[in-house]
Amino acid sequence: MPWHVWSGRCPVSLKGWIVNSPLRTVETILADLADHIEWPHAPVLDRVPGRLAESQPEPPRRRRWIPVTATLVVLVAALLVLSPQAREAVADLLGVAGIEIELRPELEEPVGAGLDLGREVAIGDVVESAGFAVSVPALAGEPDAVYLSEDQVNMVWVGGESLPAGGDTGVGLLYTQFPSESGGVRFVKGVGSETTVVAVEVAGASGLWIEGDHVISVEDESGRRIEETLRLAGNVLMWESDDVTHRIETAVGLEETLRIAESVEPIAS
Amino acid sequence: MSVEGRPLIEQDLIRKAKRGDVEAFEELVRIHQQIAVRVAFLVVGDRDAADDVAQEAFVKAYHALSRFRQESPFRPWLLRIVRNEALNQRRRHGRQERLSLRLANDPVSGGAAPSPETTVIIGADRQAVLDAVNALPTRYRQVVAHRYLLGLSEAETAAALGIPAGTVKSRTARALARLERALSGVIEGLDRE
Repeated sequence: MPWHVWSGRCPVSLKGWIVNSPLRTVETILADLADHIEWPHAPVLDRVPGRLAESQPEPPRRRRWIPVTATLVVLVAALLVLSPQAREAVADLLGVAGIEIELRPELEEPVGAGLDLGREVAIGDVVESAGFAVSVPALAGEPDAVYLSEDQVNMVWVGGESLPAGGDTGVGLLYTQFPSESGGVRFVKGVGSETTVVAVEVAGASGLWIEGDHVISVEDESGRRIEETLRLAGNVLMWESDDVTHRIETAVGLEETLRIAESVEPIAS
Repeated sequence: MSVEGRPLIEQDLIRKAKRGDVEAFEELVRIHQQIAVRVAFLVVGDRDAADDVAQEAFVKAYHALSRFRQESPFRPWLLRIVRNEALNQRRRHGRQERLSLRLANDPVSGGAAPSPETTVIIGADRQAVLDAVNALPTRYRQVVAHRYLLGLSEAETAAALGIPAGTVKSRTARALARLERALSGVIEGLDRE
């Protein structure tokens, strides 16, 4: 069917622009199309007010541990400038005061190297080669080390004041992601008397919050089975979004972990 | 409400809603309901279902407000929740994506005067353009629909689709190239005029 073109006066510059830039023409045609799409009519979101009245938004929780850990950081920083003997003496002193400080030798290998997470790679390389949109939780900043195991990307952050290290790993946050076909994650079976598994939502995507020591089995909609074991003796949040399964392991609670999870955003390639 | 004033007013509404002010949140719903329903519609392909998805998404957004970072833009955060909720709903009903956009009988330009570019192609065979868009592979069609038919920015499209901004850019370029090939006859017709 032939195009019927507007037959009125057409600005010369506009015509020249169209002739010289076919891609721009496609954009122009799409702009016209946008005005002629049959969209749903004015939405009727009348049930929202009633639903809101039923409950209040979750109030932000105060992070009570911040002042305590800040004090500890100052003390630890002071310890670092002392000689080994003096450090032990101060540590003993602090121990008497009820505070236990563990003196660890400096980490010679990258953090998380002992966790069997794959080979260490540069973050730029993994974004290029992973074959899916690799993300990072913006709240946690740049990871301290990145590992790749087949199609599974593992990012680790050194434990610190806001994310306490799990066990003796030195790792405060472990974020894992791998491609999944589609669908949410679901709990299959589990072992662990102290384990709780709760269905949660991460930015609208379905997920699981697993709290406590556990060895469980989880699968995504494609049937890919994930033998879920703890690496940091922490808590785990798993969710699936846009064909990628995400897993965060950390020692902090659900609210803080959700906050980290919802800050996950793809890294520009 | 002026465009310049809007972000400040919106931030104020978010701050109030975070403290449990339902009316402030309802105002946010009013501001964003149309785009939310359209984003949902692009996933579920059904008008009533899109309304349901948007309502559910707004309620979820309200409950998740405490985790929203005040300094970040609200719309991409909201649209991400809407799209995830739409994907959940589509999955629950075991549906595949089957979106097929249609032309309205009357233009729905939202009251804005047609731009000169739009005027140039009034009367054109839009159905051919729409068929070409509908025939694009899903990954390209979604990007084109969000960028050009919903008018979202590159960053907003990236957030709503959960893909990097760089991917939005490259998919957009490939999609436009495909459309240019598919519509070459149409474009040549325009050039001859």
